[in-house]
Amino acid sequence: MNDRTAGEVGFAEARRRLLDVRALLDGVIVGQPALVTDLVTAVFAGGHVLLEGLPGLGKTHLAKALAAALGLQYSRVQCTPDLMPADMTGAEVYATTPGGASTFVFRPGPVFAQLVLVDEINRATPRTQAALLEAMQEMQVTHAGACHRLPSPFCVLATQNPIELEGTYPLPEAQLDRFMFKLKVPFPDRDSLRALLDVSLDREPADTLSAIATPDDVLAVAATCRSVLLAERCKQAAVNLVLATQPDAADAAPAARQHLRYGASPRALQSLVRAARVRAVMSDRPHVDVADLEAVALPVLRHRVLLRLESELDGLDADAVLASVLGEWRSRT
Amino acid sequence: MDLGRRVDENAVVTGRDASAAIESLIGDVRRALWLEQLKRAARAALWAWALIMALAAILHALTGHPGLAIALTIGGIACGVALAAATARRPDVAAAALHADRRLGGQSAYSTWLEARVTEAARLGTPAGQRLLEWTAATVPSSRLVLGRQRSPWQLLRPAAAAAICTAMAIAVTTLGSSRPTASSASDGQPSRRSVTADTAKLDEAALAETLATELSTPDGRVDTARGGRDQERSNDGGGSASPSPGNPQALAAEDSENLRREADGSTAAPGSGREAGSTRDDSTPDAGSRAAAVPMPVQRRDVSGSADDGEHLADDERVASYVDEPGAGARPGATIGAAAARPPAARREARLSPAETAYVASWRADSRNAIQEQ
Repeated sequence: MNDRTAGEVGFAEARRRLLDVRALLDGVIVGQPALVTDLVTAVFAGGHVLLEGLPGLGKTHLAKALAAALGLQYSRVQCTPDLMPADMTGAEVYATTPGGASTFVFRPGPVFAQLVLVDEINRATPRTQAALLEAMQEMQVTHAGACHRLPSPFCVLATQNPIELEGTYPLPEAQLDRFMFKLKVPFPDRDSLRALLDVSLDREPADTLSAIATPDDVLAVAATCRSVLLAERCKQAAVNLVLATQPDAADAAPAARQHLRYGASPRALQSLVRAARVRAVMSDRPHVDVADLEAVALPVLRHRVLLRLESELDGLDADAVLASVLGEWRSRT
Repeated sequence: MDLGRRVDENAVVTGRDASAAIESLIGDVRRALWLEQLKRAARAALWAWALIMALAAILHALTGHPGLAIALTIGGIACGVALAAATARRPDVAAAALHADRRLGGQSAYSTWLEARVTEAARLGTPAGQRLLEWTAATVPSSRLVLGRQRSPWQLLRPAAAAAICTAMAIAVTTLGSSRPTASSASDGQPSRRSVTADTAKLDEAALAETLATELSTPDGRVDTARGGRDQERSNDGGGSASPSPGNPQALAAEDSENLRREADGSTAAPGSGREAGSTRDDSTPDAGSRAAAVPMPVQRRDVSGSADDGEHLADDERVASYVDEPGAGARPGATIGAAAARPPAARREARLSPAETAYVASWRADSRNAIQEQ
């Protein structure tokens, strides 16, 4: 324990905090345990999440609850076609200093928060969407030649609606690759719907949620997760998984050769291992297992592969193809 | 301070115990994998033995080769190689750790611990390394339990039964095959070949005797000489200008002498020379083919090229002129015409004659005696 880095907590403590956050969110977002687990995994792995689901499924509510549980500074951007980049990143405004002088000062936009909810991101123009690229990857905003660091931890939760695509701008591949996870919000089952009435009929649970962690706790747990050991076998398995999605690679899975046009990027490999480390801590393990890689493979890869047009016309989606790829990969690992 | 040091020492001892427990488990897994490998090799060797024996039996039944000794040698070599390879190829520690991770609930802990200990020993001193040591040591008992349940039986019953059956079949086929009058095997071929030759010789002698008896017997069952048969045919075909008449003993003797010489030379008689149909080549056909059987009958055409020492009785051409010096001497009605004067073969033990030949010789001797008395 003497070699522990600054801000790092023990594995047991890290696991306890992770499970606490997950349990708290499970009580607020009824009937979505897998979604909550993936969301907590991505946040503690330092990634960004793209939530996709029909309206009214609680995407915004989930983001607010997460920010409240972790005590993160929260901001929200509602994307529209006329939203400008400066509306998101900030702009210089003419202001008077306390000394009476007038000058341009940078006024940070909503992106300067620890948890940013970008609602209906596909309704923003590509120009505005591109303004998020630097923020998500570099954790900074460059404006008028000056770099402005974003707070830490920094997490972007973007939502998009799979229907009503008229007047939307689908995210380009480069933008999609910045998101660690793409999570699909499923429709809750009957029991969950029934429980939803008891939880959130007359009140908004996220508004009354008290934080059980601080941003420093998030950073400490994330540091502990980064110290999780990774064996060569798991490294090879992760590489094999990414290569299995490459249709032109020698190690490509048959389903990838048949249905995929482009496979996952090297950034996907990094996201895969980082997320698997958090899963290992959640499973009370100080080392990554292949099962951890498999658990996070689908949310990591589903938005990073591009299907062939013929496969799309046949009604296939990325999840179905990746399930076949994972089955092939599992048999070889 | 002392208490803290004691606690640290206990931690080190615990760490050593944990490492020893993990190493012990990996060693057990390694031995179990080795044993499984040997089991698979033994099963494969037995199946291979059965296959080799079955193939040997089938091949021996079809071609007479190989012998049992060769099949046993090949089977022994194949089994020995399989078992030796399985014995020499002992699974390494990494493979044992990987097996423990996959099959014994290790969840990659054993591989990670092994890598950290071998390549990154310093990582075992970190909190993650210590936690890994604790976690892995805690997993050892359950892994050992699973390992004990995974031990499979040898499962050698079916391959052993198949090997025994195929071996018995190969032994039976090779043993029975060597006693049959077929082509001899490489291992015990010489005695068999001798017996086959003896049988063939017996069959040839019997065929010869039967053929001679058929040729020499007349329709009324009386034994006649070959010359009598030929003279009968000559008298039936009207007596061409080239063929000698029955009343011309000199011409008959000359013809017999010529025929014997041709037979001795292996050449056939000219067409139209009065011999039996089918015994000569028919050049009148468009393709100049013979109506006789393409394959000569070895039992009827005896080899007469040898000298008199081999016991064959041949006509003496030189004595023909002195013997038939008077026309019509041997052409009495009802009397068989004797063969050209020839000296009877010396009675030797190996020159045994068939009944037909004995009858021929008796007739010849009687005719000769009559001719001498008449002279």
